[in-house]
Amino acid sequence: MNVATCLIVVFVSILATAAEPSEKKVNELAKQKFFESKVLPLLKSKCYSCHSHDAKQAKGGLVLDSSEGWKKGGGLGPAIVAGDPDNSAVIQAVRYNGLEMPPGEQLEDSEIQILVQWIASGAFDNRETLSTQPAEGALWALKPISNPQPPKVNMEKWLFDSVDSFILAKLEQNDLVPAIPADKYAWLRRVTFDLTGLAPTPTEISDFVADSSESAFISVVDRLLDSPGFGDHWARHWFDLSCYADVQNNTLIGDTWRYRDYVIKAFNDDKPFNRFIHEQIAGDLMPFDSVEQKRELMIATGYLSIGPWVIENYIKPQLAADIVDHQIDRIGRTFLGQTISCARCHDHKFDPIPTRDYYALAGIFHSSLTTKHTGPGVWSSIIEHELPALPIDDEKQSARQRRQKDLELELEQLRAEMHKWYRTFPDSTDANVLISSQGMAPNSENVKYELSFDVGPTVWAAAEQATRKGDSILIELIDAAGEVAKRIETFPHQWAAEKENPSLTKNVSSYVGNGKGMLTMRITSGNPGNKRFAGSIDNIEIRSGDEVYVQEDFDEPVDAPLRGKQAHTGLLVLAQVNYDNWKGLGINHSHAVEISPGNLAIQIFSGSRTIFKELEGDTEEATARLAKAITTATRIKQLKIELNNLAADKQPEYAMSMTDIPQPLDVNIYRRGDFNLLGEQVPRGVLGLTNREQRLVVPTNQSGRLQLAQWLTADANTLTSRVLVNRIWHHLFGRGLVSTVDYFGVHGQRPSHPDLLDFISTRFRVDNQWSVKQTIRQLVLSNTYRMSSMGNEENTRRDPDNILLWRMNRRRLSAESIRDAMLQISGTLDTARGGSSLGLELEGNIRGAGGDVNPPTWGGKIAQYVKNRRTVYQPLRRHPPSGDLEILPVFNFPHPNDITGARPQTTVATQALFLMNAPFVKAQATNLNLRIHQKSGNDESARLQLLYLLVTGRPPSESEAELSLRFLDSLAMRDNNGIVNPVFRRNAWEQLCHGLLVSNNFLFKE
Amino acid sequence: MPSNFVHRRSFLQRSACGFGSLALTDLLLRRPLFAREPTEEKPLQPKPTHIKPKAKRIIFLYMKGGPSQMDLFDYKPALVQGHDKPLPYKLPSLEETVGLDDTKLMGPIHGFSHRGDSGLYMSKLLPELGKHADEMCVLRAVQCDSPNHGVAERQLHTGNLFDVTPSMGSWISYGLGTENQQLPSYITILPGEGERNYSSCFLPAIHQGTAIQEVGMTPGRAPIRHLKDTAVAEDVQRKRVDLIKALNREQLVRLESDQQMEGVIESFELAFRMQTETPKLVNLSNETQATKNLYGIDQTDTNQFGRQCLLARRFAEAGVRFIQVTLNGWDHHNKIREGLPKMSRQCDKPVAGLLTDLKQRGLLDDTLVLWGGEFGRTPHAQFGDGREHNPHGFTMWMAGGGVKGGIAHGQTDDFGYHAVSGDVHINDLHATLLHLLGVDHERLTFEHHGRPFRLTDVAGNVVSDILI
Repeated sequence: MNVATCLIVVFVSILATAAEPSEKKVNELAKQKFFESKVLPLLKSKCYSCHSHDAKQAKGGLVLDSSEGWKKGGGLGPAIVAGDPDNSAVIQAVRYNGLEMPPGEQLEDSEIQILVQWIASGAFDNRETLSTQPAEGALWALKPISNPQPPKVNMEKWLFDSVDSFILAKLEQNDLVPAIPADKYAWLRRVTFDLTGLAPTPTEISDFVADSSESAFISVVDRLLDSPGFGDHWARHWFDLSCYADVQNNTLIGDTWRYRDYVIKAFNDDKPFNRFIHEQIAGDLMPFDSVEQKRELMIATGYLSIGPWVIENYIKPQLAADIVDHQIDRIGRTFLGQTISCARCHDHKFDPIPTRDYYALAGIFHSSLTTKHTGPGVWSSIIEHELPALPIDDEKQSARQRRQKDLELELEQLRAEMHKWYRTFPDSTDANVLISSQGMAPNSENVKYELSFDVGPTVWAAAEQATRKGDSILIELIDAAGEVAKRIETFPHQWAAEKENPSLTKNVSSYVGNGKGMLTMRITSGNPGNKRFAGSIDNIEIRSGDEVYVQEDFDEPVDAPLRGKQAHTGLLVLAQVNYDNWKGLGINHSHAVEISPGNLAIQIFSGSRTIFKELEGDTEEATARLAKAITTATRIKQLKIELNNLAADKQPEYAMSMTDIPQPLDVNIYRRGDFNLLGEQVPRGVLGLTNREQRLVVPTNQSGRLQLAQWLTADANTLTSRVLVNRIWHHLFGRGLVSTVDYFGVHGQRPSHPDLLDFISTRFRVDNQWSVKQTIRQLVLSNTYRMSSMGNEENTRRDPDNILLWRMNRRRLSAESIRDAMLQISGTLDTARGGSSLGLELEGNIRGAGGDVNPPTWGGKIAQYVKNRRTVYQPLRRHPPSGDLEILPVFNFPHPNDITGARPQTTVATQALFLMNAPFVKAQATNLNLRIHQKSGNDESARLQLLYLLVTGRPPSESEAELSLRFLDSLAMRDNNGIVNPVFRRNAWEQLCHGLLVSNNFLFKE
Repeated sequence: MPSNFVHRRSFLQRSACGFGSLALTDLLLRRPLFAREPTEEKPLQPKPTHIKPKAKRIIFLYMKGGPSQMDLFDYKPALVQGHDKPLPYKLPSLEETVGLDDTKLMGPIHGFSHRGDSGLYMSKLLPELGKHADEMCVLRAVQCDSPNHGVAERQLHTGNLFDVTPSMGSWISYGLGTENQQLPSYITILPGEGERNYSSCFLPAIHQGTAIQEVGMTPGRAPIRHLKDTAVAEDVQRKRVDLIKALNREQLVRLESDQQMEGVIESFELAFRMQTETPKLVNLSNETQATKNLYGIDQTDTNQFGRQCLLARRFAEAGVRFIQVTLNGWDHHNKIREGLPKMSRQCDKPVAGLLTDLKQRGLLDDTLVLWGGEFGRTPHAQFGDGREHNPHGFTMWMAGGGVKGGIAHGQTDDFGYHAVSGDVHINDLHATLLHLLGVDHERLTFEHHGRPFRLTDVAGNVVSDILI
């Protein structure tokens, strides 16, 4: 065995011991716990005053503040005989057997028993390591960051970036051979997911594969770094650490999204990371050049404001102490890789963080305001500040008014046009109108569905739409055979047109499935002879237990997003239905009626056969007319959005942000963390463990947040940049150079490549000027990143866990990438970005407002315009998510209360259940199937190519193609009469889409 | 013992869901990964205990919302006397409160009587449960550290107020494994919202509580989330699973073996088996009518909770280590005179039925039943006809495996507000539960974030007075 191999063996075996908590270690820990929690307090309180180095003169020459002290003992020899209490002088003394210690007041029996037990079990004493001088080498992270030269290597042609030298040097030293480069497909998919969280598109794939120049790689990386998806993805890494959520417990806070958008923008703008840190911790205290910048600086401090606060805690000093504790914990772990919070109740057990340092930091945060008691009842809320209004000069102001007028005029004209168009359709006596936004699933036998809908009051829109007594709405569930499975006719409770006094009535009905497959829903006028008006429906929902199959709010037209008030007539609604047994494009004339502020009911007006024909495009003329109508309708919606935005511009805006209290203060130590037990006062300051020479001077009139932020990013701080670049490395390579990414303390893992870590830290700080994008760019263009993830028997034997990076780690997609990429691949990803995601304008989405005990809560309805956006724009609660977002916890998405630098990655059968059966996944398979059919016509081979490119980022291998086609052929093609049914083949493709979409080919980055 | 007992038990033990190997790989990236993770072959295999166990399993009847102790178990003559009189004590000055302006004492809303040979005082609202007084070990001075639902609930379930830590069921599963490899070690029946309370958190995912979300009241509804794909015929589903496996295998051939990917492949096969086997677990049709009546399944008020309790017995019988049953609705801030009798009706018969049934099957000796909420309520009225949360001293009770019956441990003050003696903090409760199961709470640890964690954090004393 050569030396290098030998070293590896030693290295690996040492670590193996560390990873496996042995029985012995467990016992050690128990002893340690006993010593620290029982023995040490006793020694400190009863013995130290006379027998310690701090005592003026150690009595009898005996000191008990280190194990060395009692081993050596005083004038009477060793004070303790480990394992033999009866022969230990200390025990004899406390028993008042000869000596009488402590003099005056004998220990309680239980206290004596503690000492006896301690000595009997071997007198565990770890006080050397408790002192502020940890074992040599243990605190590597506190040593100054070096700037090592890239080492010499043999295989120089392998090098691209300096990073490669460090990696290759270690590989060569250990007789490991770097893996061959990944093929272009695998590399492109890897880098696209790593940088943007999405899959490469077929065009991006073919462009890259066609470009054989070396610069092809560079242009891909630059394109990805410049795409908005970069911020969407990397901001999410930041939210894993910053406990971001949109809803505080379940109560409402409307403005968190501003912080979310700020972070995304910061990553996309490549804001220097030191500046990013300063702004988040102390933005409100920083100078600014413009109103825009002032707003940004205020919003940035949402970093500290937003967190898992128990705002209903009615013991407010406790709430304050807990918030401060979390803020300290977050900063400690995120930037310093330290568990400072441990020092809340006692000096840190193994890292050099005394309780004093904790309360020095606590003073800073107690001098800053996060929440206040606002009511109702016991509740506090996160403090919001009004943002300064963006300046509007006169010119802009009048331009806006002109714009508003123009828009209103155009809107009026278009509406008139639409009205005219509606009237060209002859009335029909047997019109049907269909509304169903999605398939109603699986209707197995005996499953009970509950159908509920709100029937709205009617309000006049035009004279010919008056409602008559006896008019009704009919909702029918149609089974696979086209039969009406359930018919619910509703005569609205308040049918008469009462504009002044509108109200809704709810109708609930149930249906028990007959096992005959999919259901669709049809809504028609209940009175077929009615030329006028069918009624109005506000919300429709079909559910079975918790499973929601259909949910339609009608708060917006179903085909396109429109927010805000629509209390006008003349709105066009297009409803498309795409199911095998009820194909067609329906159109109906409807009115959106405001039935309560901000909420609308859609009045369904009769459609007609003629319209259906028209929409099916029977004649060229009809097609053209329809196209015109759709354009007009779309334009109307745009106009209204713009008008709404113009109106909204004038509203005051708020952000959660921090401020200092008027008279900042130092705090006292809370003994044992209890705010009722005050110890000494500690001046505000920072930890002594790194850049000690830079002692913090906090002006008396400031909290110290600004100074803290500057201290974090000072050159002398040995932790922050190491911790940050290690996080970047972790996200790109699947494991940090320090694998315990949130913990760089004594019990953390040592870096696998210490020189490399220092090299990247220095480059990040000095050369790249804290640029995250530049740092990522260098890393992903390296040959290290380009290696394939293929195994190699010899290497596997030597370094089975790939610690030295002889190949790329194979990684599963993150929860949000699984969701986002599924939507992207199926063609339904909504690329809209930014803004509030709570849909507060939806009826019922603000619950319990105006109560005197509890604040309003968020109703949890996700607006249509948010539903298919990327995960980072979805509303995030501190409760388990429901609906489509259920996927997140299933795949280890972190709980928003937790600080999670490295997500655990588990494989459990519940994930497979989700992938096989969840409505979300099935819907994506359906959509994907539609997409590949639309694109490929009847060419099955082209269709398969497209499917593979979309899902796996590469064409299928020969055997995969064969396997796939064999699968298609294995499914039935003929109906009961033996006739080949093309629908069956299409369904088989859907199963193939589903299968591939949940296979490892999709789930893993190779 | 009924003749079908063995049959049913062996059925449940045989039902081949393979939960025992549910967690196929568990790569906790935040734990050191330098060395190959010791992948336990069978992480749920029964493990040796530190001391001789008195109980083999726990059924925790969780009364969510905080039941009123002075109306149910903690009889206070002074409170009866003091009804509608001004408070003889001060409210804590640091607490912001609501609905307590001009609050007065409120006597128990219903009569009490002595029950059993032991003569335990219990409310007449619990007539059936009273028949088991001599088996009950009532803890009258339980304490927790927060008056807020979310936080107190977390403390009760995880021992921890704020940090994200594993629930006690997960700790117990981790420490002891389970007797039946075919079932999850930890099952929670109708937990409602509150996934954090049965989360394995940083412990391996196999120790996560499995939520049963349907107890046979809605025909066709799956007992476990996403268990079924009802739109696709079963043979097509089978072919689809085979396709997924074939696609994954094909990839592995190309790449070489990969532990994590192999885990995924296996997970699909297991999931497919679960689809067919799991519904049988919650099917109560082979229980006798007499048994169903015992739990009140024949009555509207008790149908749902009765089913939950009966399922709990079935799971206990089958060897599940920790079973939680949740009954929500005890948060009576107002109208307690209507609300509490209603909840008591829902609770009384099923719980009494469970104790009877466990006893007649010989299971009560090694099954510990624990009943209680996240906190209790105040002796003074809130909004005139309700009671506010009270973490300072409230009642929980245990029965069965290893605890004395017919005793009351601990005392609150004259009004039932604060514990005055024999207090049992949640950490003590957890230490005691672990002790009964044979586990030393100070030795059940897990390394996380660079330090060992345990259910009882740095506290907890076993309440030895109540042990047999």
